[in-house]
Formats: sequence, C-alpha cells, structure tokens
Amino acid sequence: MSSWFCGCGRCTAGAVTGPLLLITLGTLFALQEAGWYRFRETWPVLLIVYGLMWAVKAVAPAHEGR
Amino acid sequence: MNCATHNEVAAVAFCRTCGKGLCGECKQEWQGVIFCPVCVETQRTATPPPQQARPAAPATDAPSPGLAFALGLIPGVGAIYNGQYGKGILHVVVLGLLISIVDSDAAGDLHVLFGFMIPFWFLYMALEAYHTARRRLLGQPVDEFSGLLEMKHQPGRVPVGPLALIGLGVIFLLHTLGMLPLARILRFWPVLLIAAGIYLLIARMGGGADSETR
Repeated sequence: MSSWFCGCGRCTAGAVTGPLLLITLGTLFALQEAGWYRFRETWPVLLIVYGLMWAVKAVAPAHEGR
Repeated sequence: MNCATHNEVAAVAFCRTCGKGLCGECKQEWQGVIFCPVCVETQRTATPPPQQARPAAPATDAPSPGLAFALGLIPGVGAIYNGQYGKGILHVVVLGLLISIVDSDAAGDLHVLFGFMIPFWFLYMALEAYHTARRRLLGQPVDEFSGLLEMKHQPGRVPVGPLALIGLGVIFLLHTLGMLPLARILRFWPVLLIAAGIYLLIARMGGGADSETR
C-alpha cells in the first residue's frame, strides 16, 4: 500500500487505535487521580479496547466501493 | 460484501494487496496469491516471473519448515533462522518477562495463568517459525511483525485473536474489580489436564475414522 491511511474502514480503525488507547490510558489515570478506581484495578480495560479495535480492523471492509 | 466492480455480485475472494472484494470474474491469481485486476498488474511488473526466480535460488537456500519448527523451540532462534532478527529478540524478551513474572510474586494469585503461558509461548514460537518458513518456501511475502494470528486471518472468518484478547481483558477486569474469584477458580487448573486426557481418549476410541482422515 502506498499510503498508510486511505479512509477505508480498515485503515481508519488501524489509524484510530493508537490515539484511542492513549485516551483510554488518560481516562484510567484520571479516574485514579479522582480516587474512584485505581489503575491496578482498571488496566484490563486497555486490553479490551485494543481487542475491540483489532476486531473492528479485522472485520471492517477495506477500500469499499472504489 | 459484494464485488468492488460488479456491485450486485457477492464477493468470492479478496485482493491480497488492497482488500477489495472480488467476484469470480475479477479474481486474478499470481504465484498462488489472489489479487484484483489492478494489483495483479503491479505484482507482475514488480516481481520477476517464477521461471527466473526458481533457478536463481539454489536448493540449499530453500528454508525448511521442519527445521524452523525445531529451531523455534529454542527461544528466538526460529525467527533468526527466518532472518527476522527483531522478532527473535521480541520472542526472547516476552519469554523472559513471563519467566520473571512467574519467578517473582508479581502475579500474585495468578501465577498459574502465567505459568501456563510459558509452554504455550514455546509452542507459539515454534509454530510461528514453521509458518513463516513455509511462506518463504512458497515465495509469499513475509511481514516481520505480523504474528501467526494475523497471518492466518482470512476475511469472512471469525477473528479469534481479538475475541480472545477481549475475553482475557474482561476476565482480568472482573478479577481486579473483585467480582470474580479467579484465584480460587485457577486452583482447579489440573482439571484441564484431565479434560484433555478424556477428550483424547474419546477421540481415539470413538472417532477413529475422523483422526485417520487428518
């Protein structure tokens, strides 16, 4: 592939995964700072988010309708 | 999903390069790999035809999947045999992490789970090296940092890797939130050995014809 991000479902899912993981990480630490949930309790959420994005990437159509 | 050019026809295959859906009419094959008509042209011009490639590669250079499997049981060596040095280092680092987690008390109640991961990791390294060597033998492109799960994924199949990861995440989350007595459940791990033994016993006795066809 010449471009790493082309706007199809699969590429979008791949490109969005990293930022989403960062946002999740930030949210988890914010929850810890707020004193609701400690990070040692919530870290599996990262696994779930990554797994979901991986699943979306695997299922999403690539280069639809071009 | 339907064919990208014939929108009313269901796709029977997918282009390996761009992932477009292809009907039987658009499906093109090049060195055993399926492409769309556009990508097959770039492949044809980019890679030399097999008549030129085969004699250029002497038999001693051909990768042996069996040897790759055997070397893969030595941490990292299977990947190095395939020329994937980064992956080899990664394999060793992951094994080191697993061993040190089990050795220390970091895993706490879950040391059984990590202990289980070590033999599975050895098996994974060997199988990964085997499949990579087989792909190299068939002249298919090998991506260094795509693992076995992604390599084997075909469109239309249930994505096993992501689902396993999500399941693992849910189990860990329930454990860390104290909603699942995972430590108590893991104490029953020998049941897995017994169940595997019973499963094999039944397969040997009942499904004799099944095992012979494989």
